[in-house]
Amino acid sequence: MVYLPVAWIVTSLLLLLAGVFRVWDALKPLKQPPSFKSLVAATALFLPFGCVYFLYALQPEASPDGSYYHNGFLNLYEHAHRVIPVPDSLYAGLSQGIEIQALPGFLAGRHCVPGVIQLLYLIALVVLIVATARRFRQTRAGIGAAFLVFAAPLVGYAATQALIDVGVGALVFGMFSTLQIWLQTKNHRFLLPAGLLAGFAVASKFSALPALAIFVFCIGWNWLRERQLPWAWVAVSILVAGTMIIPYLARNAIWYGNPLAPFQNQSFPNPNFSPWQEWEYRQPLRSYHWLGTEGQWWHIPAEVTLNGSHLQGLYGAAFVLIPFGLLGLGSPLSRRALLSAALLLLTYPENLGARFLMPAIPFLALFLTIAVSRWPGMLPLLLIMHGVSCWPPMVERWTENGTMRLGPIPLIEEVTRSIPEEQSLRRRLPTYEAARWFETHTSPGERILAYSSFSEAYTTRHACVVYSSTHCFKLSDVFLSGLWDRYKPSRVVTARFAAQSVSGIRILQSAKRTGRWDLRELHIYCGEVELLPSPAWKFTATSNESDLPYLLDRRIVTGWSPWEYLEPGQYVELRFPSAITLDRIVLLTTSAAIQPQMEFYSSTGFSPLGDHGRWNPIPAKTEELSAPLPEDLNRQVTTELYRRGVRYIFALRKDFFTDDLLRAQTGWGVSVSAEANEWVIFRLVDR
Amino acid sequence: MGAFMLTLCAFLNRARAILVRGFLVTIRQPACWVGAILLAYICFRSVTLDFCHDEALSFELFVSGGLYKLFGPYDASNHILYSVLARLSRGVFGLSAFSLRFPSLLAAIVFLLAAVSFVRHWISNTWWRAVALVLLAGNPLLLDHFSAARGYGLGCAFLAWSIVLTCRLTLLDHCLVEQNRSVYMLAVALGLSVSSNLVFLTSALAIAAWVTVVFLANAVRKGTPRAALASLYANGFAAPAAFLPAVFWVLPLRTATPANFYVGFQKLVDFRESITGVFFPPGVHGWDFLETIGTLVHAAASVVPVLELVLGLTILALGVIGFHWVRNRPVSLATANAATACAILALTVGINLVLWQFFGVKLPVLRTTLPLVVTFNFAFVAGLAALAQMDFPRRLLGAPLFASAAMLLISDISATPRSYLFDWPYDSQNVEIVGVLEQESQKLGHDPTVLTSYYLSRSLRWYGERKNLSWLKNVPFPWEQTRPPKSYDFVVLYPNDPIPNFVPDSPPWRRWEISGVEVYRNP
Repeated sequence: MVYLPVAWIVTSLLLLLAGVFRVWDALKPLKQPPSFKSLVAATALFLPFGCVYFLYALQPEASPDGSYYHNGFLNLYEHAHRVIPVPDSLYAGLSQGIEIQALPGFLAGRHCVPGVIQLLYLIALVVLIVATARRFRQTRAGIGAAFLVFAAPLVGYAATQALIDVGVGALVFGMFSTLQIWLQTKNHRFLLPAGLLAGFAVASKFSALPALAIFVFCIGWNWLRERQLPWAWVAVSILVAGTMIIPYLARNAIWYGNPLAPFQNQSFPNPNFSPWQEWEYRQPLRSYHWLGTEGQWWHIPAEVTLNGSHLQGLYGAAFVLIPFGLLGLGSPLSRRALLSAALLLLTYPENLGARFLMPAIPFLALFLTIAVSRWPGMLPLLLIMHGVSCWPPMVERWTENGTMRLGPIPLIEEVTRSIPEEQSLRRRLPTYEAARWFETHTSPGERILAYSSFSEAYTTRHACVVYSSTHCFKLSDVFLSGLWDRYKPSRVVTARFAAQSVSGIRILQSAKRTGRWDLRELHIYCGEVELLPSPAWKFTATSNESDLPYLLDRRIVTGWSPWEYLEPGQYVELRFPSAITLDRIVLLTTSAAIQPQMEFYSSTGFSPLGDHGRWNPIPAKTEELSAPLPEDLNRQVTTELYRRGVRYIFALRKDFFTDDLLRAQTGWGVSVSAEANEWVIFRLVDR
Repeated sequence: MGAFMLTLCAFLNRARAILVRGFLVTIRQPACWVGAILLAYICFRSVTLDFCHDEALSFELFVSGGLYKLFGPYDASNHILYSVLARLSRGVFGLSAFSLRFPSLLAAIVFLLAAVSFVRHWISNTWWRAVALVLLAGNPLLLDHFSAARGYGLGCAFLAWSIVLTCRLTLLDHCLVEQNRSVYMLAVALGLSVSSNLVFLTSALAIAAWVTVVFLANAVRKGTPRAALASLYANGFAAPAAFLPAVFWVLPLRTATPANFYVGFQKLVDFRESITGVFFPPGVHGWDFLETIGTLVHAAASVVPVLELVLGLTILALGVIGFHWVRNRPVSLATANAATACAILALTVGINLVLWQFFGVKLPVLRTTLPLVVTFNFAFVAGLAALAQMDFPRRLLGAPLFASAAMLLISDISATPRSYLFDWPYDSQNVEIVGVLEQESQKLGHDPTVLTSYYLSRSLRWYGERKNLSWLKNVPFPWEQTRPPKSYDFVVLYPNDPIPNFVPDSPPWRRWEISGVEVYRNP
């Protein structure tokens, strides 16, 4: 239950448990304390960045993802007093380990707490890197690597916002570090925390799945070398890892009908997320509209280290020098770091965002500094260059606009809230006011359709953002029927054949393309007489059966789609209670460029046991014509949206439809309810 | 207390003895005197020379303002090591021409130390050492850059140390593995040379190639620990030498395009020009008989354009053969040293020629000849030392060389009043120009608005910065002007650098001429 007292009690219990397990022992003085010189050097390096990061973390949360869904869900859960399903957002299906960890803090300290927690993770990561390197007698390299990570612009950004990437990076490195202790000491108890951390990493972000591969690889490697495996401890550690991951799989299976939601919808069909929507979501993440057009794969290293404008962030010029790390491969730590980084990069092609490199970055930094620390004077030079060039105000001067980076250093007044949070957010977060407007002017249950997200963390209203679920895509299909030619229902396919008596018809699709099959209406004729639909007619299809009634509802803006790419074998079937005679099937579909290839079949009888009988191809003559569109098509669109509960459309000024709606408000049946420089809120006129 | 005092006295006495002996030894070395005189000369020029356009440009673009200016976008004028040191120097000494030239002055000291070390090592006769030092460090082109607020001097200094160390390492008769410190110092010197200016990459590559040959030659010896040698080569030489400039250049180079490196100029065969044509520009070396040789080769290369490339490759082949010969015959170390220095020169020339021929990169122009000059000077002096040890008739050799050295010094003295780009605007012009502007602006009763030619604007901005004249600090570049030229109070024209749309004769503007610069006042 998400109540503040509960959060306090749970936190107190956790602290009590920590005491029982003597966690404080970790704070005992080190047997070999670092030298005064290295302490001074480390302070000089880390302190300035640490201080400004602290200010950034305490600043009101304004990152796009953080203020949309990371904090947005926490806000939603807080107001619902429990974790609730959000079937129209794919982000709700992602694992949320770190968000849930931040939830108690969120209740007390509000929106900046997740950012502060990320900063704590970053500090833990720094300590872990140094401690691991120290274990291999590479302390200088460890301090260097820790600083390269600590000062990296994207790390600084992610560690001070309500994002989870730094946390995941720290968890993965923590697992690696624990495994190194296990490999060195052969104390099998360390497998337990290693499994816990690996599991928690995956439970925080699915892209950290290779952490499990590292875990398995280390165990396998040890078995190969030592020929002995502590089976009991391995089993327990896997169990512990599973304990972290399984709740999310179970949640997804129960709430969303797919344990791996929002992915693998082909294997786990469900009404919330479809394969087509999944591909539409994932495909841009594999290119960011840059790879394959402006950029090639060999541009990625320069992009994520020096430019940052195409892949949302950069790690700094020092990381360009990573190939020099090959000269340190003589060190076992260097080899292990490289291998771990390589494994962690396996999931990177699925999302090219620079943030998705975060788990591998500490390993790559260590890989580099192990080599560089062998050359006298070079490591300090590298760190000075990195420190100077990555100082937040400096980054702004040499990177392009659009790079994910920290803004100007926050004012103390902003951090202490002497300048009210609202004022600060209004300045930094363009959609903040929209969120507040929805909070004060709308009622719960009034649906909001949007093509761009707004700061949901600051409102209890949730928008149906088109790309985030099949539910929202269906609304979009309706909306686009009045907007884009390729979505307009203007194509009529008529199949004429000799009159025959049938008990069912099947329309089979046999093309394999990247388009989508989108049927709007189905009419059956015998001569010039249209056979009116009867409730006794039964529809079936390969998928999305719930939308099949829309084929007979005589509203051209609604329809049926399998929500998959065109695949041979997709079909729609209509079975009649008794044989009927027909000689023409008319289908209304959209005029999309990529068209399905339809074949028509009929059946003469079905057995009472549900046998489909035998489908015979109908020797039909098919013709395609353009159908005139009704003048009130736009009005029909908004009427249908209204019917489905949509009351508002949120639009950024740059969105493709905003100008159209602003120009023809009466035709669409909308009115402007609120607007600002960057956004407009349309209200659907009451029907 | 008594014991302490006695110990202290003994220590001071010992220290005094060492200092006095060192001083006496030093002052008996004519080479040291020559070095001191050259350094004093460079200091004198650093303080007195006009601050010219290029220096003002470097200051404005990379040394003034925020540190971010160091990181690009890429500009060939950004000599990043110099820019970093100049910022430090400015922070310590304040803003002045001398503080901005201080890094080059330090470079002069480093260079002279390298030169003194070289001549002391390879030449036994004290007077010959002095002559050799003049030949190494005395040419006006080189000296100019030690008193200029640019990065060329630093590049020359570290290149000089690279050559000195390479020569030493080449001739070691024991395993290189024991010389890891020297190898690392060589790598650092090479790296710093390239960090100073990318033009030095050609000579750095030449030295790196030569060092690679030396390592390979060591590796084929019996009993050499090859794994340790390979590790030393990779971790002690190649990687640090590449890493150091990479750290400095990685950010500025991110925006570089091939055009920034002069790629796409006419190729050597098309250009009908010779490397010697720019290597020995008349009047710069003050070294007539070599210039004559250069002119002859130039003429030959102009007739047969690929001749020079063939010559370069032949010299390279001879260098390799020479090295092999040296290693397998009981020749003098001085001869082997000369072979090494010549091989470095040949490789440098070869790389320049290959870049020119195959990529259209014409590097040896103006100041970019410096890597060639430095490598040539060291090769020449090493050859001189080898000839001297071969009982070559000294008088026959000595007379022209002494004469050349004397000519160099005369060239230096004659070059004293001018700076290294003597046809570009200078501070002394600025003093006069600004004098006129200030005098005339008093009549206006407000700060004047000034529009200038491109070359002058940098120089005048620097002057305004130094003299804290706000109206001069922000003199617009011609392309920055937002209003017609005739709306400015003053227009200052540099010869052959007109301002578009400016016609001073209708109605007639008042005109002054200062060293070729025209100053116009709005009527």
